[in-house]
Amino acid sequence: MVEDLTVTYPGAGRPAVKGVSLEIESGRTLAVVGESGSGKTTLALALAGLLDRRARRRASRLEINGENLLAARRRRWRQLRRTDISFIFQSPINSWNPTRTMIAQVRDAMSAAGHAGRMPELLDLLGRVGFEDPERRLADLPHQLSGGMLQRVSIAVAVIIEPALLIADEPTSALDSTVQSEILAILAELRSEADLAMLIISHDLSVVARVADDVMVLYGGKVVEQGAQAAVLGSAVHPYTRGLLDSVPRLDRDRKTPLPSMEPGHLPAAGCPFAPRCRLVVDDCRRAEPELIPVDATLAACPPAASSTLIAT
Amino acid sequence: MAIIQYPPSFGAGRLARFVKGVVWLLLVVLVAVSITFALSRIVPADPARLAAGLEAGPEQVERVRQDMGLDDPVMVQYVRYIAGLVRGDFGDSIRTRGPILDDVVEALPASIELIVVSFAIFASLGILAGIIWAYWPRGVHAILLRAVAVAGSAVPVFWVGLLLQIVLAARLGWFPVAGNLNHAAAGIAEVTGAGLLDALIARSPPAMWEAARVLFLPVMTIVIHNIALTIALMRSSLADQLDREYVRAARARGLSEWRVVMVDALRNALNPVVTMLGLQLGWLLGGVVIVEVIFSWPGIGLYAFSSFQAFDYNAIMAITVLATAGFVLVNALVGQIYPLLDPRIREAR
Repeated sequence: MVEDLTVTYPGAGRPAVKGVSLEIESGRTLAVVGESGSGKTTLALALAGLLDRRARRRASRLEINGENLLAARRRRWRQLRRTDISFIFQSPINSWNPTRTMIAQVRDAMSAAGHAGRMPELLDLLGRVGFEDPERRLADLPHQLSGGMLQRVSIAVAVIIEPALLIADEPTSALDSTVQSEILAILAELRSEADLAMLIISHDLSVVARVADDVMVLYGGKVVEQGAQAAVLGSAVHPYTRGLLDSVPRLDRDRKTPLPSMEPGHLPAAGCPFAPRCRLVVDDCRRAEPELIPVDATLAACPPAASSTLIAT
Repeated sequence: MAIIQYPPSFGAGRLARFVKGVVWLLLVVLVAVSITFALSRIVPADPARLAAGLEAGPEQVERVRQDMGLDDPVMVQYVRYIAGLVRGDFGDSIRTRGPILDDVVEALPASIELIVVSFAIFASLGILAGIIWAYWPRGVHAILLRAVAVAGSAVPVFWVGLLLQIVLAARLGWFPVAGNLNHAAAGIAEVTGAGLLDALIARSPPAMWEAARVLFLPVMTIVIHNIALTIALMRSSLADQLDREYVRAARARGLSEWRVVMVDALRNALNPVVTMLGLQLGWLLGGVVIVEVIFSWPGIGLYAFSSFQAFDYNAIMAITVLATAGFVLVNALVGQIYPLLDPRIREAR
């Protein structure tokens, strides 16, 4: 769990992640949703101790398995990544060194985690996640394997250490849709078998609908809405979340007005980060940053939306 | 639709590749020889006149010209010269009057010693410093390394050599000003002609110390000049690799920093550095001239310099051929290293 996490990169005016708090119980999956630049990857990296050395991180609490990690050094984080935290990256081809064979890199990972003797088990696991003929195909270089295959290896290596926390940063967005759905099924299955907490990052709401128990929506580094998956996807309050939901193409209805687009990197200096694109914007939005307040079944950082919802009900 | 079948292409096998490489090498050397030969006939100096001596009269000069075959048509001379080369005969030197091959064989060990020692030092230290700078980009060491990288390549070789000579040899007297190891004075036999190696063969620590002392200043001169590029390229190449996603992914899998940097990233970062080191080594084969002249190092560079002064065209051509062959050979060897660093190259061939 993490409380009030803020991450700032040098040279950047506003923090990439600002005041984010979250808690994932083991056995549950939290999906973090947001567009590029919303800070979702930074949040994920911070939870694995993988932030760039230059990034500045502040938080009032940062715990994994009840261990306080606010003052943890790099060595401790590395140890945690060997035993308790696994990370799956967005781009399978960029997750592996292009000039070394997969088997060499998998062995490196296994022996780093202290599981050098468990290679047969890993090969079994690879077979189970649909990586055929692992013994032969692992002798290949990364570019000789497909993205789906590479991501299966990443998943197997991530899961075999039986981590307490599995972070998957857009694990399927670089894959085509059939492979995407296979990978999601694998993740869901492995999640249900192992008693781990999963954080999945996505901009794809159909992915979120399939795997998440809870949803957190980030905009401009801030949480704008969070709650149970059904609540957030079903009765979203925040205009940004509603805009996201409305922009999902569906066959059974006409497309509603899409979110007004905006050039990236032009977030307002003060007030609600979403104000420039918001339909419900009032003067107050540009003055103070709204706090998360309970509305219906979710928490949303939008007083105008909250009051109109309350009036409607 | 017809299925087009391509014949198995020649050059697929390892042997074919090797043969192709050798043919290519010979071709490059032949072109270099031809150009040097043409140049030696174009320049207005008269080798016969030089060979005959200042006091010689016109008849004597003419006789020397006939003896040297210089009155034959140029094409005949060219064919004769190439035929000599094939037999390993570079002709006679005007200056030393002996076969050039003998002179070269005598001068080569000293040069090779100088080049190999310098190269080993600037390549290894340069790579090491580049790694340190890339991994820890801030700090006092980074400022120092930046200074070395900028100054080392900006300052001319002869200036560095003279400065070292004046300060460390003439003023402080820590090192000899010039010259190579005197084998007789050091009490060791001349086996290879390379001082350090001979001292090693004789297992004589004092001779080794002495050999290292005479090597120090010329080696330092070459190192200071060449290490700058190595450091700068190693740093930028490794820094670029360290920013790649696969490095973060390797860290995410719990790999130690040593493995991430020295096994994963370094391997990929070395590729451009190897290319440049190959070029530098090739360049050194011809580029030691200045250093050898400054330190009176009795190698091929000093021999070349003396030959230039005497317009000993046979010797100049021989050195050009050797330097070209050496350059091409070094680059061919470097080409063998790439597939070791990047297996994708092996596969693409």
